[in-house]
Amino acid sequence: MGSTSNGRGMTDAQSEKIIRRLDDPSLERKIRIVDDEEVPTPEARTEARKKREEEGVRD
Amino acid sequence: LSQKAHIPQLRAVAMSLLVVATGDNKKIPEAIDIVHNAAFRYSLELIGSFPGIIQNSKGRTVTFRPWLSASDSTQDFFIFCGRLLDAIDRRVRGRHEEFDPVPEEEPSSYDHAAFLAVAQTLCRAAGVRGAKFPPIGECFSTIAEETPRQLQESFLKNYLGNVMQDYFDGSRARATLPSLPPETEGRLRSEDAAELVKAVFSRMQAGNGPVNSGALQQTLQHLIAQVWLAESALDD
Repeated sequence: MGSTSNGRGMTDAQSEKIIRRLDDPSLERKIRIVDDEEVPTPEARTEARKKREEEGVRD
Repeated sequence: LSQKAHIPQLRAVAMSLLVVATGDNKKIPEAIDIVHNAAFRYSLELIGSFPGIIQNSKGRTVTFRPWLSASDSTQDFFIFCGRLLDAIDRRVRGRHEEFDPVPEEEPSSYDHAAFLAVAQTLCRAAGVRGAKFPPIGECFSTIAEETPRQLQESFLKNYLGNVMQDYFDGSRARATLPSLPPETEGRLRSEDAAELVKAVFSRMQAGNGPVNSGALQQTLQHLIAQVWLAESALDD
């Protein structure tokens, strides 16, 4: 764990990660939070990953 | 379930803020205070009971016993909100004279987000705009036009939005990236938190009445665990 950088107890590494997310336009796209119960098989997971990738390309 | 479960779509920054807020140096089972703290549960239940309490008063003075005593009575909605939040806080701390203390309950770092969300939800529903407070009777009548479910949805959106904004501010992102669009923080609430709320409530029993707080907490915990997994798959 890095040094604490603020009153919320966030580390420098955590702050940097948040800033990185905001500073990268490619991360502006929205990511589907797929529920395990709805994607139970490896095949379905692969399909969901492909779909996310396709959406990412479109974005 | 009687409705289709909504698959939430979040921005990477929202996912990471939730992971940081729930303690990314912990394992998932330990990082559940955001869902299972007493202030959140009492606030969710109290918000859901508002329309019923107001409607049951049938035009008489609205009382919130046992949360508030007769001496807490006020004609100022702002003061009412303050006294209600103080009552929830006293209960969380085991100091409310009308409730027995619960040994495992204690304040958490999320209490501020919960209390602020209660006030935001009530004031918005009551028609408070620009710090102008309508008469208290009008405030209650307006709140009673909302369903318990609508109020709870609004509360959860504000709660998650407050938590994410706390950590956004803590990251000092705006100081580091001065060109960030002004709506950046607002979108954490209006888009990302709203997506999670839609996902949570789509997994609840359909209806307009208040949701069971335990069921909501379990569902939210599960979704946040899914956010953890998805966030860990992002490239760093």
